[in-house]
Amino acid sequence: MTWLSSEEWVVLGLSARVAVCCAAAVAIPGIACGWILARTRFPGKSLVDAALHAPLVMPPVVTGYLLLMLLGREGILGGVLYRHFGISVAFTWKAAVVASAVMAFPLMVRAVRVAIEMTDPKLDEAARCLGATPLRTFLTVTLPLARPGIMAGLILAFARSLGEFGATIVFAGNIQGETRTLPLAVYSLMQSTGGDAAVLRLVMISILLSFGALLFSELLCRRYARSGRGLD
Amino acid sequence: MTKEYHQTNWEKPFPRFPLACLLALSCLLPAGAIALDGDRAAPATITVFTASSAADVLASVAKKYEESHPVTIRFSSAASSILARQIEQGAPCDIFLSADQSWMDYLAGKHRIQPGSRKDVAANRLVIVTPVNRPLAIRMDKGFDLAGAFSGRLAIGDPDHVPAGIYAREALQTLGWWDPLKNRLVSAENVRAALRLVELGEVNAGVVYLTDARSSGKVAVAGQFPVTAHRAIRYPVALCVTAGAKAGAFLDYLTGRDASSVWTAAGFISLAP
Amino acid sequence: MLHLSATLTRGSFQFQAECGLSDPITGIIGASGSGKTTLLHILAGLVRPDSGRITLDDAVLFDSDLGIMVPPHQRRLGLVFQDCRLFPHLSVAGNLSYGERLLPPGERRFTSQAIIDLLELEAVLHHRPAQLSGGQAQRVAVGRALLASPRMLLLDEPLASLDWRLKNQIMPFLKRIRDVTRIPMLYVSHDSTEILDLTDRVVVFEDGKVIGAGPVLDIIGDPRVLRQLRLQGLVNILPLTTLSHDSAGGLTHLRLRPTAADSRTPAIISGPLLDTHTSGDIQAMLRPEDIALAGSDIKGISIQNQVPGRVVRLIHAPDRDLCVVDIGIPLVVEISPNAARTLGLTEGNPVWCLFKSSALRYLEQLSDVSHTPLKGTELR
Repeated sequence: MTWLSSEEWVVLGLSARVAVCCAAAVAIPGIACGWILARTRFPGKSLVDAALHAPLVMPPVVTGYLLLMLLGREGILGGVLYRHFGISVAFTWKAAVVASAVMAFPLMVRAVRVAIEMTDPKLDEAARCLGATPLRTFLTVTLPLARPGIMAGLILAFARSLGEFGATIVFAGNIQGETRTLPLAVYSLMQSTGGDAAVLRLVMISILLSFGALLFSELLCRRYARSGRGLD
Repeated sequence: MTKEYHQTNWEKPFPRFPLACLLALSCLLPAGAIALDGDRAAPATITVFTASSAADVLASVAKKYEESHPVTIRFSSAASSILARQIEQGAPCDIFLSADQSWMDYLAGKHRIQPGSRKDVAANRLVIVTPVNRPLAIRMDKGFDLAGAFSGRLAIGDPDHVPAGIYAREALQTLGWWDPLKNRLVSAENVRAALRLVELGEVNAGVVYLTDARSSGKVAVAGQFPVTAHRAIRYPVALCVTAGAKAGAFLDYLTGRDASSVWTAAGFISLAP
Repeated sequence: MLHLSATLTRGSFQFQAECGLSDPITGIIGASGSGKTTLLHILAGLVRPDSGRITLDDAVLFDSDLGIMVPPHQRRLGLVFQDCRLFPHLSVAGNLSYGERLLPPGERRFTSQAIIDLLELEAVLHHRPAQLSGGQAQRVAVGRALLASPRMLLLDEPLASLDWRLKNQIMPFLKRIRDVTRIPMLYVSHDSTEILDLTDRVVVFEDGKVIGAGPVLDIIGDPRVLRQLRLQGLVNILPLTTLSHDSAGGLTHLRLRPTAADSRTPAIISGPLLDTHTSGDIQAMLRPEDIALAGSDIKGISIQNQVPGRVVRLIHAPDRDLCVVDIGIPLVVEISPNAARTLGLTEGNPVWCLFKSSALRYLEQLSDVSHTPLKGTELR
């Protein structure tokens, strides 16, 4: 297609790659935390719940800065990684994934938690009495029934990543070809001259991608919900 | 004899294969961090952290430089404040170009730049702009009542932390225009946003850099602040302490005569010798 | 052989039970909330008692002193819930095989086909639970529990949510399971009729405690047990075989099948007319209060059934008396204390039992009662 410059294609590709990796990164921790919040009780649970939702209410730039302090080359954890293993995450596309994942994590946990809460724990009891271990019960009964919610959570994480700006620009930087995702590209274009047409193009694409993701999520939810209720 | 029952997808336990893929993917991410470490890529890469307002110029200069030198130059552009904090936290940066002195001073104080390499590469002027179809006739001196010359708000960069806003406040204070206008301000997140407000006609006047005014076709310059009204608007540039070997040469090029035409063309005042 | 002793306190509800169960099928009777479901959940491992010990054959399932608590998935006790709890995301076939799949082939007692035939589920194998009727769903739930090869089947009011017609349809299946699979069963219900139709061995609960355990006629002397049984519907179950149908008279004549070897000729009983094509064995229910006693048979009375017997026992309850009469099977008759005195009833007396043919209520469709044995190769 010639109506997108090569740089814009790079931006799109990078955004897509980061968003997919973000969804993959939050999948298992998100399901685990969602299950813990839905099915278990322990002292301090509401504190943990609040802490998990922190990225939703903190300014994204602050979150990005905290990530930098934690995982930057001189950070608490990042320093160790860099000095002993030569691993540096900040200012690479992996940092963009980490930033997106942290911001999207609460959304995933919420979606999973609601989905699991809607499954009947009595079905778990039935499975247990038939000989299924708790893990098998989770994998064969709870998870399939919660599938619509989990899919919705993953797609939400994907869409959130597409729009993630504040934490990304602080933790991953705004490096063309490396960490300049769609929102950062729009921001950069707005800072420069004659970028109006490009801004519009990228904004249109952002909207199309997000819309598409959300529509797909809606469709999936309906299809799985119908299957789950045995209406097929 | 047991029958084979037709199993739909729902009969099988949570599909093991996709689950395994997901698990593998999650484990790959840290592994990928090691394998695909970008910093171990091309040794001839120069990373420049630049204030947004100079990003375009830098891109043009870099392109010219890359034509004759075997290096790759990559940029990260954001507000000078964010860039400075990133460098402070050990960001892998070779050259830092700031939109004002205070952030360069900040990093100098933290020993993050090589002090000997610090130079001012360009200067800028502060102007008052109006939407192109609503020009104003003003005199840039203390006696003139700017507040009475137009209605509505004045768009400037946030005077608390945006360099353009800081300069704007200083200039307005020097000319005695700050007090009558300070309750009629729109503090934009950066100077480009302030410019856009004027372009869109949302405000009748704004204070931006000369370079911004020149680049936009939708604003008219109503007047230029005298250089004495504010601290010199200088763009300092320096090598970071972690700079690679090739960075110095590019810095010299950037601040030298070859690049000065690019700076001037963009509306800056080149400070090349 | 199941041994249980357990105590549990939940708020104001106190559960305390001690019993040994070794019969093929034991009924658990009691009012709602009396502890019957708690008993099953404790057995299954879903609820942890405060103290106690549970052993099944030689395996210890729970011992509070030793800190042993075997989790539900290791107990191999098939619990059939009142609300079926079929997995909505699996078809009937998927539900049936859920527990079976978790067993190594060598430990599977039944083939899927055998259970499907036993419970007649062939037609609905590919349906989803939401498409099933209440009766079908309950059969699937039972089949699913059976296919997991449990050591014992625990049925928690499986027919509670079904109407009279459906109950009658499912009862034969439960009897088949009792007779064919030989898995010990614990059957919980608040309806004595269901239980007495299946067995005469019961455990009676009241307010979380066991107040009686054993054959019904043995424990019926305890006034508390009697009160509970009557509250839950104490009935007589008559095992009958059809003889002939009298369409003009609107009656079917049946022969009583005596429980023990009896030298007397089996009694002939008349009941409401059945479909003239039906024949074979059938159970009927007769309420104690629908029977009257007489010193001799009476001529010139409309009551069709007059069955001779001998008084076996007299039980005194606060407002009524119960008289157990042997007519070939023990029959419980309820009479006023006045009547007992007037007739001069004493144990050993001959007496006649009178009841109208309309008082007889058949317990299942004859067509569902089949004694076709399962093909031998399918049942290991």
